[in-house]
Amino acid sequence: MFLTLAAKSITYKPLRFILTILGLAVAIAGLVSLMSFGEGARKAIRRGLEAYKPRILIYRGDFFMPTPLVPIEMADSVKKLGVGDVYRLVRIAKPIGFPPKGMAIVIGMDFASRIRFIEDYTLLEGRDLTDSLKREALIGEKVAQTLGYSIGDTVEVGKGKYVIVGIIKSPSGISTNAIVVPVNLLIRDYDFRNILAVSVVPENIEKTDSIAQVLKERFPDYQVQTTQEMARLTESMVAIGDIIRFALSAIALFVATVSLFAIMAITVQERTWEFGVLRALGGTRRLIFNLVLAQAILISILGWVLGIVLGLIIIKIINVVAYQKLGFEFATLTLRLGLFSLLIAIGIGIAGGFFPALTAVRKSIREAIGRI
Amino acid sequence: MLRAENLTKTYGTKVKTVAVDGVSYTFEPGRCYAIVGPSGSGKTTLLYLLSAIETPDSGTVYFGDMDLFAMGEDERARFRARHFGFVFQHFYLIPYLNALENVAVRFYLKGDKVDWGKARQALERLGIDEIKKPYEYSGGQQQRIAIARAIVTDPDVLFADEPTGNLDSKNSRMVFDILREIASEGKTVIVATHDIELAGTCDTIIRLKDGKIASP
Repeated sequence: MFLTLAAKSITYKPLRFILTILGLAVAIAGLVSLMSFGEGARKAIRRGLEAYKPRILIYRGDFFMPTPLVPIEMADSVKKLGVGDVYRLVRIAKPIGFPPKGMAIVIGMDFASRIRFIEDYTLLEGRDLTDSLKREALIGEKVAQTLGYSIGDTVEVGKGKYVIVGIIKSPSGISTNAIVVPVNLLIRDYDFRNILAVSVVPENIEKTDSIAQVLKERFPDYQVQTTQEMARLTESMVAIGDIIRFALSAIALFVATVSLFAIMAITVQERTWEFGVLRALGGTRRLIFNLVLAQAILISILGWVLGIVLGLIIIKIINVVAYQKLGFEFATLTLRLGLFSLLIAIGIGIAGGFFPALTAVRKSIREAIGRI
Repeated sequence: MLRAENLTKTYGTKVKTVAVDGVSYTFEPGRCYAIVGPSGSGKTTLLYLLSAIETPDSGTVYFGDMDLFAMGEDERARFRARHFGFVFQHFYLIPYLNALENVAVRFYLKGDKVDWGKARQALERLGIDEIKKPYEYSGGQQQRIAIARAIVTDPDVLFADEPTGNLDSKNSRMVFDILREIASEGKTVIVATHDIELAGTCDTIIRLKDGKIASP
């Protein structure tokens, strides 16, 4: 009966009800779609790190924008330490198409390393690279789609031309957007003296931290980072992004709260007699208070449901565009985000309904019944 | 048995108006009481005090040996739900609930499980067979629904504040017939009315003047 009273009362003025719910839905959709970037980023980081084979990275400069400042010979120095498999990381961002239709990442495949490439990829067509001296390339599915390349076509990288022998993709999206060529040829084509990083895959993964410590002491002028440290760093960057995105969506949430407050205040004003009658017939102040609060929370939950639907549509659109431009989807509505937004919606309901609910029970019954 | 003891109620802060002035009276079960008097004589205030909707400045109301104003407000509300029924002049049916839900809401307020069968029976007893929203009924029908709402939980005392104030003479008579019938079932019925003719159909007429009982 409590729910019947709460639910039926909010549908009594349908236009007001729909507009209030719509306002809340837009705010929740804004929150969900903005926060979904962070959730998507987290998911992508986790996926990327799971696929990422090297456990330790030695580089110079900023982690998020490393510059190729590691001498090529550095790989040999690390190898001599015998701490594990060593992989030379060479990566170049290259506009693709003319006029440019997007960016591809040219990544070297290190045949001298046991792991050869930084992540596992799936071969969609053709075959793998087999020779460090052959001018052959693998291209990501997205690059192939953008440029209309297929097996047997030639792709230009720096001064070199490579015959495409395979088309690849990976869950992280790195390989999907990549042009993969032998690292020796890539260094030669660009006359590189330095590479981006030297990566180490320890023989015993459990010893990663102690090996990283040894490398830090041995190469004090370089940044030495384990994948765990990288994960923590990126996670904290995503968390900062979350705060910024939440602050942006808080404006819409605040407006929604004020709107709900205004609507509930008007509704309570109009229905004062009704609360008086319910109290005259035996309803307690607490019951009336709970009833008004439940109505506000019910409105906010309905707004949340619609907001989630709208948010999912927005996220879908973002992901379609992102996949077309970047080759991977980066917005995700997780259960965690869904529950967080539900809590926010309930919070809006409580904030918007609390004072109107207090107003509803403040008057004496006679005063309340007199208002019609 | 409902007993008023020296009930007094004053309104206003700067200019004080004494609405009920030292009223003492005992209401017996199985009888219909009509409180009559001119406008402003304190009929409604007395009814609100007797039903513990309004708090007196002094005096009290006993139901059996229970002092209604010795209770806390919530306890008094629960007491009203268990023992009292109330019918208003303007019907005051909840507009977004249908007739059946309007009646059944009393079970909820009383804290009981909603008995839809009893709610329907109460409506049928008062000649309401079709379930619709309140605005789809005539005034007379709406007042009968309000009476069904008041009696559905089998209260000991039924209060009615000008129940025929918005009805034509035919419906007014019908409402008083129903109130007398309820009294004949052993309930106490107390009606505030300005209609002397209808009041005459009750067992007892209490005349109120300037907040005091003019004659029993």
